[in-house]
Amino acid sequence: MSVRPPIRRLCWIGAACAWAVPSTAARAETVDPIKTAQVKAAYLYNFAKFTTWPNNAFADESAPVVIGILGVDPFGETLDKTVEGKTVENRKFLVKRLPPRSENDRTALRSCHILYISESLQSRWGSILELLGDAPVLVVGESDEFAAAGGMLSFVLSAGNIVFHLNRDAVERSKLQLSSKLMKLAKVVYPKEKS
Amino acid sequence: MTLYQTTLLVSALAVLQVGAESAPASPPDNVETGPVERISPADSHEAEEVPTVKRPSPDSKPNADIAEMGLEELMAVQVVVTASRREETILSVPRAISVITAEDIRASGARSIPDALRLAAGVDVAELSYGNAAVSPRGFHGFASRYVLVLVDGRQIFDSLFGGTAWGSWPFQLEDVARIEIIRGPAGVTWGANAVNGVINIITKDPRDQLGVTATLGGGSRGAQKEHLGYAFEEGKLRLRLSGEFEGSDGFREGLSVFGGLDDDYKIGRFGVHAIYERAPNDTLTLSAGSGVLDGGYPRTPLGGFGFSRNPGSQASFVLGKWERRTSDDNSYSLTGYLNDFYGSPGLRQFDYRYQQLALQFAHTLSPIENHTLTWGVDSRADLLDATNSDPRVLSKPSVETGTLGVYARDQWRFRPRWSLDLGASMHYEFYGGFQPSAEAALLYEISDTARVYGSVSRAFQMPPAGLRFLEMPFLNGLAWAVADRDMDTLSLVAYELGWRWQPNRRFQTSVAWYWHDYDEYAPLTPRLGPPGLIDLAVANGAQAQLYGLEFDARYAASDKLTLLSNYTFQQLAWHSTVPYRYSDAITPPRHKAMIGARYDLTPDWHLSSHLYFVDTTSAPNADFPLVSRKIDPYLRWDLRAEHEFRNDRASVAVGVRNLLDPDHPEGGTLFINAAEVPRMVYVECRIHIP
Repeated sequence: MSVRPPIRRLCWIGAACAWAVPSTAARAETVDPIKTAQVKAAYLYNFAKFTTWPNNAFADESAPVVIGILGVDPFGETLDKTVEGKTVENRKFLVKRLPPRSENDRTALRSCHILYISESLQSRWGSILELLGDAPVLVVGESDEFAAAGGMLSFVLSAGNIVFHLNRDAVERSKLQLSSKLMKLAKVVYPKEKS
Repeated sequence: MTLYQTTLLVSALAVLQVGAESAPASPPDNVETGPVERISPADSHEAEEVPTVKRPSPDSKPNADIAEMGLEELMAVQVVVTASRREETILSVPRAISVITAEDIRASGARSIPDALRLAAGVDVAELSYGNAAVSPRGFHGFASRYVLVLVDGRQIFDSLFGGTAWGSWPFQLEDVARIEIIRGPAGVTWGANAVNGVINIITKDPRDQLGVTATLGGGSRGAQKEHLGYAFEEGKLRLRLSGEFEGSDGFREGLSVFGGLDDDYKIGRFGVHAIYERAPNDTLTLSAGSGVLDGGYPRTPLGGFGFSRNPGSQASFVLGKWERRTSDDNSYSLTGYLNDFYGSPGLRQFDYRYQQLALQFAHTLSPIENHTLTWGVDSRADLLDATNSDPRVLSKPSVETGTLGVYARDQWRFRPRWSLDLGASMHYEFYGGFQPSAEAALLYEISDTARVYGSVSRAFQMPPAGLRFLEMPFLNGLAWAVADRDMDTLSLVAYELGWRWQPNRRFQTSVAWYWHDYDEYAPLTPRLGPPGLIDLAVANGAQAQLYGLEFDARYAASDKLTLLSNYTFQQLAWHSTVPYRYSDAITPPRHKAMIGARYDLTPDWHLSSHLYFVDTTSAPNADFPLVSRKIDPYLRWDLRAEHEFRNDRASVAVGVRNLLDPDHPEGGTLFINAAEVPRMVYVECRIHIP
């Protein structure tokens, strides 16, 4: 079969034209709030599975794992439904919405085993973490800055997925034992210079 | 200005334009912007994870399962909502698909991509020497497997001269592979020429998943050694990986030739850079480049005769730019441009060759009407083959410039609550092959929330590479010649497939596919009396073939510690030609093929794995006596591996053995090189990751 020059030329023109793609449309990103809440709630349950608290963190053998929510509650009923009927080492879960201004209440903060701090309290992170000190509370927050700022775990939106960052020093200070799986799956582990 | 110069100019401008206009973009494996479904980019650290495919879908998937998901699965859930980013499980894709994850590759102890592909149902793999492998889904695998299309991040790797993929030459770095998706059966609508028996889509890791320094050091039998060093960082919107490795081996000791040793020593340096610039989660620019420089790799063949031979080797380099952008919830674009530059000298004194391939692909996904998701695109590629350094008697046309241009469109229509219909068509034009259509129709029915059944019919075609049109190659000091046919026809395939997929829970998934492939205008080498030689092997169309088979695979996470996997393939070839099948330089598809794997975590830090492969009798081409095929006995291959992780899983040591049961066995043969027997190989690997 011989080559027909006009068609051949058309091919080259077509190839060149493929570059002329419109590139001015606006970008849009929408996060599904329901799905996000479901994923984060499921993460909290998974974090509990891979965390070991010291014995004195619980009043007795049947005391529940208390999940405290500080600031704006992003979960609604989702978190309650996610942990409903589930146990970790035979302990049920109890979800507590901490009342406003609890960020200054050292006892309330330390009464939780897992403390979720909403992004709305970003300006108070420092003082909250200071009040918690080395208490055996798994502190979970939002944004890539939270773990860097001394929070233990933080949710970060990455390429459309929710992943988590981890601060190893903060965990070690608290006497909590986290499974190496969490360390392995954390997208970023702080402090970065430590191996 | 010559055509060659014009092409280079066009592509240089194109790359510049991508760089200049590139507004940032969506995640690298942004499925909906690509022309074919792709499996979730999520990292797959756990064997029990069930890979998922994100594909456009007009309806929302219920999320009741999220509460039951493990960490790895949660990390894979897309929370950004657009019509095209909704996630469905692999359950709902109406075609036969296998996924091999990075964890699968690691657990299997695979030393190369072909090795890893043994894990997939329906993929025929035969190692021919240390650096050469015959690989193809659904048969017709040979030295140059022309009926499968191999992609790396969307870049096609298809040899301009011989066709097929030079597995040993291109810079595949296993450490950087996130997953391999195998589509079995035709995918010509989406990918154009050569996606006949299937597509092997290799997707590399996001540098974000490898932040820090990764170093691996390995060694083993036959002087095998591999040193890999990678560094990845994330700075603002940019994430970048640099990686390089050296792999060397004395090769496999035993060859099949009665005329001499094997000489398949193999030394290669591979280098790669992969950068992703993300201004927003829906706007990404990817730039990737790499090179592989190979010394050796091509065993000498008796067909070369008694004259001097050249030192075999190759140099394979590429640059790829991809821009992906989602402009609204149901509207996304991707633009991909790449350059492949390959120089190869197979060691015969008669010829060497070089080619450049310049390609540009545009894809657009939109949802113009409710319940419809439309993907359309334009593909173009120029192939510039230069063999002027060869013996002038060898090529009737030593410099070949050819090109393809194709348009395609595909609609996914959910016309009833449980029914969806995929319809697609494409038209491709190639300078020498003319116009070629592809088409597909697939109907999927949701039997229940956990089971799907589908049926499809499709047509695809294979465009003969330039070598088959112009290469006239002397064997045995000119006594025999392979004679090309400039006007040879394209091979076409009409395929019928029925499949069933069941995923009752997160821990178990299984699928069965039955297919019937009907090939037309197959072109084996037809022997005839010369000239120019005493015996000529002429490329001639006219053969017809049918291949039918059954593929089964299953994966079961029996517990948090134990994962079991298995697959079984039955294949039967019917060949209709006066010329025997072996003259097509392909190995016959083994009638039975199976794999059983088990992975067990003895402790959180100790991982044991076992993979047992069975491949039935085959018949392979024979380099010593081209007119007589070689029977390859059935073989069992058992691979074992133990890995210990320490320092918070940042370091590991693994020991393993491949092919434990057998000192060595042949897996196939080819007319073009002196094939090997695959030996037992013991190995040790150390890996360190410093974040």
